[in-house]
Amino acid sequence: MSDVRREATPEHARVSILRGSSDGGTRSAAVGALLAGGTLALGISAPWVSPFDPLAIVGPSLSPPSLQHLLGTDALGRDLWSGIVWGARASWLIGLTTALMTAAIGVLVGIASGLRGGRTDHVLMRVTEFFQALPRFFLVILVLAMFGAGMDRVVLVLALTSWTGLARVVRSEVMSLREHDFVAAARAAGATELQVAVGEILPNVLPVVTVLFGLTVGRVMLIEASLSFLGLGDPSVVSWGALAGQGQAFLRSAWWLATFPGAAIAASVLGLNLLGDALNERWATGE
Amino acid sequence: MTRRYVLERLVQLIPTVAGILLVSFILIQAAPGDPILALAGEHGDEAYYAAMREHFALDEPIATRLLTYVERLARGDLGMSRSQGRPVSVVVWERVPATLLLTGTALLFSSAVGVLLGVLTALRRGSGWDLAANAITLGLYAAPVFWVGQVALLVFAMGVGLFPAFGMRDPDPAGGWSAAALDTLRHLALPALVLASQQLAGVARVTRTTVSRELGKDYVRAAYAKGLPGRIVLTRHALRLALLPVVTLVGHRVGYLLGGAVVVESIFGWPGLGTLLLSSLQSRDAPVVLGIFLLVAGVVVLANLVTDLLYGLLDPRVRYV
Amino acid sequence: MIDAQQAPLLSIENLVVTFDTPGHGPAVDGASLDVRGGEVVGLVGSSGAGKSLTALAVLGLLPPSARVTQGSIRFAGVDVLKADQETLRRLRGQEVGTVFQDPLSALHPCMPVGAQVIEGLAWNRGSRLARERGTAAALLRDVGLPDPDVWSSRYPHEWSGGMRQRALMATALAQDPSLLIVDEPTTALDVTTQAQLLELLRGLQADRGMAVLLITHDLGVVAELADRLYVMDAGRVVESGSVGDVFDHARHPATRFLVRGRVPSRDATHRRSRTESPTLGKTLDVHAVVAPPGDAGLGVDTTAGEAPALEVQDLSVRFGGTRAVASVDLLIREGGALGLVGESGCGKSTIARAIVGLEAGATGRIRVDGRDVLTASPSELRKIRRIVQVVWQDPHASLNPRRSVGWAVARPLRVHRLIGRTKARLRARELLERVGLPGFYASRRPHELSGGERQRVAIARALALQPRLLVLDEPFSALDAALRAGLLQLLDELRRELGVAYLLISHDLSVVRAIVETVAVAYLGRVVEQGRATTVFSRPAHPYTQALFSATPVDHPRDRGSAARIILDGEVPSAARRPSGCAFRTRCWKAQTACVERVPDLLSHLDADHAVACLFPGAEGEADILRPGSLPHEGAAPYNR
Repeated sequence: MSDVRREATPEHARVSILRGSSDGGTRSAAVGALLAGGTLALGISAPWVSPFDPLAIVGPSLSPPSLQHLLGTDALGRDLWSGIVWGARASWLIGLTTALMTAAIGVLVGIASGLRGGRTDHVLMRVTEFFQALPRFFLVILVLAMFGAGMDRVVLVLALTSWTGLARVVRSEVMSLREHDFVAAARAAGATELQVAVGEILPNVLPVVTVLFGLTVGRVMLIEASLSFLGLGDPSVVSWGALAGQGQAFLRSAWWLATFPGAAIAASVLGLNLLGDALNERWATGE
Repeated sequence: MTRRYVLERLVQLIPTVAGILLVSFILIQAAPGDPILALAGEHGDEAYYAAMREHFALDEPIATRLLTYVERLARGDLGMSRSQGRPVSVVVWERVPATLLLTGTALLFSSAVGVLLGVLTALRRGSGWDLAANAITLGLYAAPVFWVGQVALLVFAMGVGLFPAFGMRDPDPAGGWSAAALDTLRHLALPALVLASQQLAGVARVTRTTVSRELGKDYVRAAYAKGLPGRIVLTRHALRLALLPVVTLVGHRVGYLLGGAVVVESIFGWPGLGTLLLSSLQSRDAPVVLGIFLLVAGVVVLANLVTDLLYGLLDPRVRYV
Repeated sequence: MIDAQQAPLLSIENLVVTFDTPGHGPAVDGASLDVRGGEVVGLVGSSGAGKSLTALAVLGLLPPSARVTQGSIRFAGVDVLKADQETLRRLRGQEVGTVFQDPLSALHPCMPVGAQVIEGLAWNRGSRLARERGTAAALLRDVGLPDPDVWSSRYPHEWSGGMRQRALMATALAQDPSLLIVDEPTTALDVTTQAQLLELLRGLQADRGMAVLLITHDLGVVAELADRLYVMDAGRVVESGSVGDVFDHARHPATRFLVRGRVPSRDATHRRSRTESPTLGKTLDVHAVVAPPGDAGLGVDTTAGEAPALEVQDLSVRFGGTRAVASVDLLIREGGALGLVGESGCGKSTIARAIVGLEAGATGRIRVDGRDVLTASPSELRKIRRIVQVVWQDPHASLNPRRSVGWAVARPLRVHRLIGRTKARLRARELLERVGLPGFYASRRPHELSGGERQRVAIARALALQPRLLVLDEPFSALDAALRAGLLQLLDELRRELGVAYLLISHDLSVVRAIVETVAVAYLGRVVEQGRATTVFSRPAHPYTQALFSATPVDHPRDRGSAARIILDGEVPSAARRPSGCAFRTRCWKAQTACVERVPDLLSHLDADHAVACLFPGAEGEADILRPGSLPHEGAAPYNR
């Protein structure tokens, strides 16, 4: 099989998609941590930092940003700032849950495939290729069409279809690690397969997994936001995408409704990307 | 050897295609409650229910159902759309040109401009241009499509009034053929740019990385040492390898682009597959949703195949492995 | 002859090259050197001395982060540092040809090699496509490539290392430059291939009369080829002069370090003095006195025990359909040392892996301390792996980059659950101190250590379980010549002290010579000659062994051409296409029809302790054989030019 091709498959491109910021990484890491950490902190502390119940009518309809309502109100008079704070919680929860499941599947498949090689690898790679060919977004919509709306199935489908890139990167990492003498040295010293996988391989793939984990959180946030934007999310949950979708109708009269939720998503994803980028650079060069 | 590579790649299609058929089949069968309600909605049109039962062979044993499903798909028979009263294949097919125009334009634009931007920034690393481009692509890569669309609408359509905000062409059919084409182009510009934005950012960033990586390699130094001028070294040597990951990036993200097209079509009221998908979802017209899913899956599989074959053509190492 | 008064072709004066990264001194710090037309100048130094940067500065091809801050470079009257891009471009290729260090990465992977060879020529001289094809083949033929018509349309990954190096040479010579810069021409190559290329370079230089700037860390290469030499250390030229002078009267410590770091590879004991018979034009070899064993200054205890530490019988290893190792027998007595010598593809590393049970395709019998490796159950294998330990080839790859040095050293003890965490830490420090490293290194990461230090860590790790047998797989190949001597001494000490047996695998004869009593020479998966080191080194009986010994570069320029050199044709074939009968016959000058039909057995030769697998062994009629008229590259250039 063609390992050369695999080496240059898009996962590698994806890992490096953000690489190459010229400021050495520290500044972008700081900005990234600020952006992503900020929205994450908002989500965690939502009950304390949101001034109003995001679903309650607390003010005049469509009032522009003011001291009373920091980011204005929507058509029903609900506070947008409170919505965004609670939306952070929903977005991050979905992003993190999905990415955790993704990472677990991806690492398992990647290490098994890369370390065992041979038949195991062949079969796992066919399975990976299949999942890679599934159009995620459309599959989620099909599932929602057949099973009705709900965040649980969105998370499940996204997790089941998003691990392929991670698995392939881990696999190719493991394949090159496997050839390193330190793995042979561990084996020759009497280490079992498990001791090799956990003691030697895992610490070496963790950096790339961490980076991809961050990127996956961001990507899942984007997909979830798009689904909610189109009205395919859970109507009882306040999410950034849904807020932006509701703002679409008032684009002409209330610019703030569409602008702020989208900006919140962009900030979170940008933060995650910057952070992943900086870590990647540090680990790639500094080791 | 080349032939073996192509053949190998074609054989690999079989499990993928079979898997897609199986997944869609299982989804239909596993729907909660009576599958007919999930498939045909709860409107009480008994004649339509009967037709759907017949189409999906719901009264037959599971094996027969699967066979019937595959056989009908092979004939291009996707069933009837209830809301439109016409065959699904016809309903879906008539939306293809609009989506093709939108995504095709976005694909070409993002690839061409993305590569150009990537190469230029790679050659001027650290300059003001590079930093500005870096900030913009970083932002575009992180921004959700709908937000880019909304901001573009606010600024260019509603603010400046440069482009129409909605639809594919103006309602009044004045003017000849060329006027109509120009009108479509005017409508196309904004949604296509929005759809292209994220892809463009990705392509530009990957290109910048790969070009600057390749320019530091030994073979580039060796090419200079032969007395070749810089532009030849760049185009004949470095770009050939730098663009390989870009080819895969573009080819393997066709599904992603089509997903973005759904959002963009909904924002700009573009009469393509995306708007059809959303309206079918609202009217609980599951056969149409299924049809669009299968079509997109097919396109993605095909795009992956073309990408891999192209890769094999560009990189001799693959063919000879 | 070189006219000393003639204006230099290339003149570098007081060159300073600095990197942008702050906190580092200049990488090249005031280097000056001259190259006159037609002379061969060596630029020598250990890695990081600034040799390659100096050469790149001549071409105006420094990496973007490096710049020339001082000095001047003049080439044939052109001020290189002030020249514009177009002038520089015309200089490159047409005036200065360059052969880069790593031939694989210097070739574009997606372009046929022939096209790359003539690319510069085609651009600068504008020849038509039809003619180019023939041109490429002709250029490749000039550098001794067989079947250039076939090969020129193939891609680099299909070429072997030696062929790629030839392709680079053809590329550099295509535009007939007056100066050829050659950067580490032989580093990545096998000994016999290296000899071929040095011979080729010698011939090309003589034919074309061009000047050559030879960059290398290997004094042997300089001793073979150069007229004059400059020694660089930490960015400065610390010594220069004619090769003979520098070798005889090295003044600077760096030079002495390089000279002394070379373990003598062919000392007087086995060097053949050559007497020429002028009438016949043939070479006659006369054996010099045979010296006692282990005379390389590292006293070896030859009283090895009787019980075997390692017994390998009829070992074969298959990868799929190809046999990488074919019925190999080896025996090492307790506390003894066996050297396994051969070039790439001879299966030596595979044998090492098989001994510790890492090769699934191994058949035959391997007994370590009486226990059978190949039939062992997983738990038995774990026990065996406490008795035999391996020191791997590349110290950069053999230590886990994400684990501390102490973790690595104690890992074997922890894997076998022999020791608690705190005790393991103490033991690791002890072991590090035993191999001559400070104990506090335990908390360091491998990347903070130098190559030599890392190799010591690897040895400490291998000793952790107090093994009976240590397999050393090319332990020095990744190290600078100067570091080898110290490590050799350590290994020799450890062996005497701990009574551990060594299987030392190497392509480097000098290393093997220094510490083993018995030696086995392998070619393409088979042992072709085996015996006491002294016997094999002084009276090699297999033609391959003879060629291998003869291919090693000389130690001193005065020995240049003192021995008739056997230059083999071609390269080691791949194991997948093993020739029938004797595998060496395709490159052997003695080969006859019998060699095609029969695989020669390893039979004792003259002496019970000396076995050879050849149908026509020994030195009989060597005078005829060593200068076969059919071989294109023969003999040696005279030293006194």
